[in-house]
Amino acid sequence: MDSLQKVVDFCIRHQTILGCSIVSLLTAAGEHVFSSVVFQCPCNSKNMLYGCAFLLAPAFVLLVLSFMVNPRTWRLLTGKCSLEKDDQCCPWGFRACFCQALLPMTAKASVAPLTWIAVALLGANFYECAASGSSVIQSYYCKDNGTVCLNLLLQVPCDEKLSAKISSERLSLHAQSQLIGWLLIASIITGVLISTCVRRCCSPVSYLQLKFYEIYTEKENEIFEIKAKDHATKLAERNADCFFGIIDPAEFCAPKKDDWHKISTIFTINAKEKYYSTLHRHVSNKR
Amino acid sequence: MDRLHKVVKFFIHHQTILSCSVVSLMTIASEQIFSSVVFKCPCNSWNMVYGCAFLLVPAFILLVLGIMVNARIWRLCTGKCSSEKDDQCCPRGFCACCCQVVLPMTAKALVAPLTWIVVALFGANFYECAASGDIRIQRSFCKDNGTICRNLLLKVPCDEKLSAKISSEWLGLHAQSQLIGWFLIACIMTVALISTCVRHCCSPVSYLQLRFWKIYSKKEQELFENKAKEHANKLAERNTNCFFEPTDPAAFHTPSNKDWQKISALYTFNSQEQYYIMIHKFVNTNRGNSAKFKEEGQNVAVLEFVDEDQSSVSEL
Repeated sequence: MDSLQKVVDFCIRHQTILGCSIVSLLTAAGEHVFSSVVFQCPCNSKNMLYGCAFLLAPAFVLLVLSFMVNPRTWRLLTGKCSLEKDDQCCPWGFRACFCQALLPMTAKASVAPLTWIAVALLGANFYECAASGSSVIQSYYCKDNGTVCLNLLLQVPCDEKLSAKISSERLSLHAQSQLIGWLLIASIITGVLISTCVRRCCSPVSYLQLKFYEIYTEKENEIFEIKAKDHATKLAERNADCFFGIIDPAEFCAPKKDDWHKISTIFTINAKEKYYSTLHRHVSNKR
Repeated sequence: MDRLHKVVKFFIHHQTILSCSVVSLMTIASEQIFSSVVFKCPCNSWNMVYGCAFLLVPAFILLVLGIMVNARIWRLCTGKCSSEKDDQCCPRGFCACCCQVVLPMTAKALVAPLTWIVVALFGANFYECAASGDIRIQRSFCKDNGTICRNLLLKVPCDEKLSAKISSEWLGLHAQSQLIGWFLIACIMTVALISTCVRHCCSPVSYLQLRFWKIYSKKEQELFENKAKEHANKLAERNTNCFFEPTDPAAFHTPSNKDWQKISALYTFNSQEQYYIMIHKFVNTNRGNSAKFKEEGQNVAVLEFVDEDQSSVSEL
């Protein structure tokens, strides 16, 4: 059991890397399945629409799903349009909200869709189909704009030998797709490095304090869930016992709506305050 | 169960070598997958761009990932541009910092990309494609500079028989690639040996003290993480209890921002006062309040492990 515990600990420590690797492998597998089983380029004037649908629609679906599974989205949105003007959710105004909340959230949600697009470009089938119907690519390959050449180009995704005929001097659609895929991956990785550097450099607290903040946030979420279940159990028991006449209703102290509102706002650690969460701030201000 | 325990202990004891081997095997596997499934040399004037993209872009990605998982760079960076001027992180200026921290860290991050390049050169497909489009290779194969010869050379990655025709007197592109691969491995191993020798020779402490230091550093990080989790647990319990129950929060002491900053600084060695880690120095100098805390030391290459995160990879 001890050894199993060590293996589990190892997995938890490296969970980010393992998670990213698993997501990449699943995306690659999904792309391979779609490419070989589901995708069949029509090889006519609808190539561009078909290819783009397979390339972009799964990316859009992944983007929406990523937003929906991020709890920060709901923390930001819940109660925003309610009638009360007491707008604590985003007290620093719309622009600050956008930079500090929406931008990081969108960046995090973009990981899965961009992975899909990069893997699909390296696989090259979807791009080959979409590009063979694009007018820009058509003018690149068919200098004379002749209909014979244009029709041949539309058939390229369905016939490998045609590809060699048309693109003997020019970069083939397959190679173009893969070069664009590599360029996309390199740009994303560089962007991630630069944005992480900027975020870390502009961090209001030091390295170890930031690590402690992450540990504390995780612990607080766990303990909050346990205490909330405890509290809910006690309240439910008291109400049910009362209903069935077992006991008289005792006084039960529960947090007020204002208290819940105060601890539901988005928190960012800063150098001036000594707090690690909205709950910590609220409780300390009670003293 | 006992045997399983022994196997796990063996893996933990030799984890560096095993993790290097696992990384190499994964690199070989991905190179095979790329080579056979994804890579298709265009066999025209775009050979060089295509081949170089497959050879160098994965190496670049691995380099960036290697930099991002190194905790030392984040220890240096975090909070640097924040408004407080109390700059303990790199008191000797930007240039010195760059040479003593960023360069060694980049050298360490080069391991994975060089492994990829070596494996890709042994596979030879990427180099063959890139080199067949390179002007210098074309000149050495096609003495007469004829276009027929050049066009044939561009087709070589797509046709194995052509390779024998063109390079009957010269080293084929496939063989060139593998020789370059061996040469690269030999150079890397030589440089690694020389740099390790120099680092250990310039070590200010003896062998056994260095071993103790590494053991202490690892234990300190583990214990610090456990204590931090305990502290976070107590604080979280106090806060949630206070929220759900009508009690006043008890006083809870937590280290101040300045204390955290003092122990987050990069470690420097001082031969007068021997501290094994910044928190050791902090505790021994009256929580960083005595003048001794501000005494500057030197960045020593062999003591880089002190600031590295030996337990987790949490920077991503």
